[in-house]
Amino acid sequence: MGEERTRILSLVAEGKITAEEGSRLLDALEAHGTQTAAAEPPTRTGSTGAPKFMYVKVVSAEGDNVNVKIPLSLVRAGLKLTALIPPQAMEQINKQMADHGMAIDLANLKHEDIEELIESLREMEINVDSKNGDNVRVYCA
Amino acid sequence: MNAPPAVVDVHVAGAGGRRVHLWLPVFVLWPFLLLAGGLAIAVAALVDAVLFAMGRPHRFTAFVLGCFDALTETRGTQVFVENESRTVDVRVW
Repeated sequence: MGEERTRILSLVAEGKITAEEGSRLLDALEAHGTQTAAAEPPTRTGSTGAPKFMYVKVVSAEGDNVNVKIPLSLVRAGLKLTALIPPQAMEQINKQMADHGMAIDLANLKHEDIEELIESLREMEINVDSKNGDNVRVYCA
Repeated sequence: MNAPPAVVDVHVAGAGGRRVHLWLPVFVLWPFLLLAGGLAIAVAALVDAVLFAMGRPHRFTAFVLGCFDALTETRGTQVFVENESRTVDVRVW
């Protein structure tokens, strides 16, 4: 669109078209640009709202395929459930998680935190390509 | 809270062109689920009340309700596994 705009301006500068005609052409060009942008489907990164599903796709070099689609409301319900685990059991879970490198206190997970976590999952995408050709992709949409 | 899953759809396709399609009407189990859920909530509420009276409050009732909530949210889950000899597709509606 930038090229066309420059061309119109150069036509005006050369006197081949009047300033008024140039202005009309520029208006028409802008209107066309807006229509084109509206017709395009929203890109994954540009879309808004909370994602609905988590997708896990595994494609192995041997031809095995695994596709899993999980409703994020299930993840949300599971996370809420962790807040209701009895304190004694929660201590053990937290200890085990810390031993495995995940130092998260599940008892401190609040409703707002869960919502924020789910919302920010839209931006998450995990792509793993192994040497032998296996591919793992995790994303939310 | 949504309704629990109504149908589980299972497609299995073997290498020799053999296909199995199972349509499991889980909704027929809803009355039993309701009964079991009601019973579990009643027991949990009783345990909560007793523990509260003993000065050790717990939230077992909320935990049972949370489990039920998680169960209902399984709607929309889809698992597709394919290898050289078999394809399995499970959908929860």
